[in-house]
This record gives sequence, C-alpha cells and structure tokens, in this order.
Amino acid sequence: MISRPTPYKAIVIGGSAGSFPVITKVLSSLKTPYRIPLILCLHRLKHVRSGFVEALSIKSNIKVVEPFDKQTIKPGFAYLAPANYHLSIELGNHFSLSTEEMVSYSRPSIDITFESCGFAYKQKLLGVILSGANKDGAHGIRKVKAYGGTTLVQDPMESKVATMPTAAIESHKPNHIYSSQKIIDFLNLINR
Amino acid sequence: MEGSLSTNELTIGVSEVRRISRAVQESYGFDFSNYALSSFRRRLERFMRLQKITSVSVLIERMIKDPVFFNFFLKEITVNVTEMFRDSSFWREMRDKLLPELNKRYRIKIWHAGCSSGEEVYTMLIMLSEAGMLDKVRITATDINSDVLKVAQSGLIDAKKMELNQKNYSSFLGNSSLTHYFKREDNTMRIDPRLLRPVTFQEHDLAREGSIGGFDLVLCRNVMIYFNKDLQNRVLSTFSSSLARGSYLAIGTMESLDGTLVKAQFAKGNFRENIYRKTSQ
Repeated sequence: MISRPTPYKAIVIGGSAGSFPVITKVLSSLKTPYRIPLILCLHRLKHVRSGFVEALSIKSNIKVVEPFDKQTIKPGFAYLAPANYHLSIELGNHFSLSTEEMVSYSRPSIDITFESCGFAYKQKLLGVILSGANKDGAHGIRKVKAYGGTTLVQDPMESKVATMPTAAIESHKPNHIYSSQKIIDFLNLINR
Repeated sequence: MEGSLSTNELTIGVSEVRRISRAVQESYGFDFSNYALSSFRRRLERFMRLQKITSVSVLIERMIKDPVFFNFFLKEITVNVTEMFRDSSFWREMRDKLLPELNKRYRIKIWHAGCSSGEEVYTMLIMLSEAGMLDKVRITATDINSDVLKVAQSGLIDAKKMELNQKNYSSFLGNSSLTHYFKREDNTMRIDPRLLRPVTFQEHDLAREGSIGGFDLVLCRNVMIYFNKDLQNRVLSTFSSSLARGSYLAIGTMESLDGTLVKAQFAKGNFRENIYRKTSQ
C-alpha cells in the first residue's frame, strides 16, 4: 500500500546521553530546503549556557538556534531548548520558555516539550526519542501519540544508552522503531 | 473534544483554562486570561493532579467557596523556582558595566517586579554591598502573591538551595563567600538583616496594576515568560512609563524586546546581556 506522507508541521526530538552523535548525523544528512521545523530537547549541563549550539552547528545543514521566549517558529531551523529552561509551544506557532521545577531531574524536560508540542500540533507532529540515560520523554511521547501524532523511537539495540528509548517503548506503542540511518531516511522522506 | 484523551490522564483544554480564569476573575479579581497558555495549562494540570482533583468544575467550586484554598492555589499556580546569581554572566555585567553608571547618581531607585521568594533581591543586595553602594539605594520588591512576599521579607533560604547559590556566586566571582552574608538557623539560612534595610516589599499584580513610581532600574527576569504577547506588551509599557530617559530595564537571558511595542524606546548599547537603556519616551 502506498500512502502519502502526512504533512507534519513540526518534528520534536528528545535525547540525552549518547544522542549527540545521532543528532549531529541527522542534522548533517537532512536534504535542504528542509521545510519542517525541528524542535530539539536534549539534556545538557545545566549551567553551561554556550557552546552546544556551536557544536551542533558545525556539520548541520540547517540553522541551529536557541529560541528566545515567544520567538516565532519557522521552517528551515532546528530550535534547541536553552539550558536551564523548559521549552514549550504556544498555539500561535511560537515558543514559550519557563523556569518551572525540574521534571525527572531535567530542565529542559523532554516530557514538557513533547506534551506541549502534542497539544499544539496534534496529528501534524512527529515525535522522536533517541538514545538517553533517563526516563524523561517516556510520558511525553505517549502524550504525542495520544494527541494523534506519529511517534518514532531509536532502536534500543542501536542506542548507545538504551534507558530512554526502552522507557519510551514501554510507555506506549510507537509507530516506528528505527536505526539512526532509517530515522534519517524517514525524515528526508517526509520532507516532500 | 475538550478535556479528555484516550489515556486516563488529566488533560485540560483551552476552553476549560478559560473557564477557570473567568471564575478566578469573577471571585477574586486576579486576571490570568493573558498568561501563556502552555505553562498556565501545565500549572493547572499539575495543581489538580497534586490535589487529586479530577474535574475542572470541582476545582472551580472549591476555589469559589474557600479563600484559603484559593490562596494556596495562587501560590502553586505561579512559578516560584528561582536561584541567587542565576546566569552569573548577567550579574557580572550588572556589576562591571551597569553599577558604575548608576553610581554616578545621587540616589538609586530599583524595582524588582515579580520578586518571588527574593533570591534576585538578595543577589542585588549582596552585589551592591560589595560595590559599597548599599546606602544610596532604595529597592521596591513586588509580587502577586502575599505568601511568597512574606518568605522574601523573612530573608530565609532553605539550606538545601545554598549549594547551587554558592556555585552561582563562585562563577559571579564575588569578593567574599556567600556564607559570609548568611547565618544558619536549623535547616534554613538567614540573610544578614542589615542587607534588607533598603528594601520595601509590596503586593503588586503586573496583570492588573500599572506603574508604582519612577525608577533608575527595573529588573524583571523570567517573569514575563509566563505571560502571552499582549500582556508582555502591557507590562513592558508599565516598565517604560516607570523609567525616565537614561534609566535601565533588565530582563531574562532568554527574553527579548524584539517584536514588542516598546522596542523603539530602548537600546542595548554596549551591553552583551539583556540590559536595556531607555532612549526615548
């Protein structure tokens, strides 16, 4: 059966330990122009404010930025949740930041970003959980699916640290469990 | 469909958020209608989850009937997570670039808008004290919530939080140790009461009230992020009307005046951090 790819309004990606090489590979393999905004929530050192965007930018085919509060979401960008803030999406297609309590010892929390993306984009969202060392994200990706979005989890067998993808698979039935190469192929496939 | 998901977890929809805001406004006057939906909705869900309240109608009924319960709601719904010397590079720039400018003035009036439990006020006081400027400063610290203001006024900080504060202070490169300004009392640390002398704490709701006077510096960091763009613009114009030309506005590291209605009234000059100088009325 051949089905037309869903027109996604956004792709939200969560990961922590071990996800950096995967993210780098994804960003360097996207075919441009890439029309779907990427929203990245990656666990990072809490009080190290700079350096991460630069590191991700080196090989990226699209521009990587840390969004300011209420910044508009545009295609062609990868938005990285800033250190020590939670990143959410408002219904008017812009970001909001918050300094609320940590979730699963994390700020930014993947659960928070995923839940708010799910609420805002419903079935027009693709949620992706990559390699990671804690369970943050498991609740969020379940919500993404419950709101009607598509979910994709990196194959725990391939993940450097499998706790996060394993928890995501245990929390809900993902639409896809892919290796990093297949994730890249999928992301390029839906950009049409 | 509002208010339900295929999972059995509580999710409240946009119309229910509006219902709650309306009920709060009718009974108590507080206006949450222009809070950022994403975080306000999350705070409501969190509150209901923690209080084991399963429907919005029950929440509204309890709030209307019970003012004590509402006050607790108000405290929980607003975000009061804060640190001393958060973003140490911001405070270094305040010390190295802004204080010398302010020090040229005979008296310095500062407004901490949305001061929460007081950590940024204490940060300011310690910085001013280290610069020898405490005597010429008057600080007004305001918050929507009277309980939180009492905490700020008490000068007490949970001892568990001091490790992070101390770490931030170290990267601020202060000229002492943070413990020098605090005295241990059981599980809390009390700030030297002499430091608090220039401060007046008062209730003020940014969503409903305007300017409270003229200031040399308004500091409002990580407060407006909980507001939508409309309310941000209103609050920024309140700040602008509280500042004479040449006075300063400091906002959070990830906030921006870009795209706001007051942008043309302020310039960043040679500040790298989010410190703006008022340039025109």
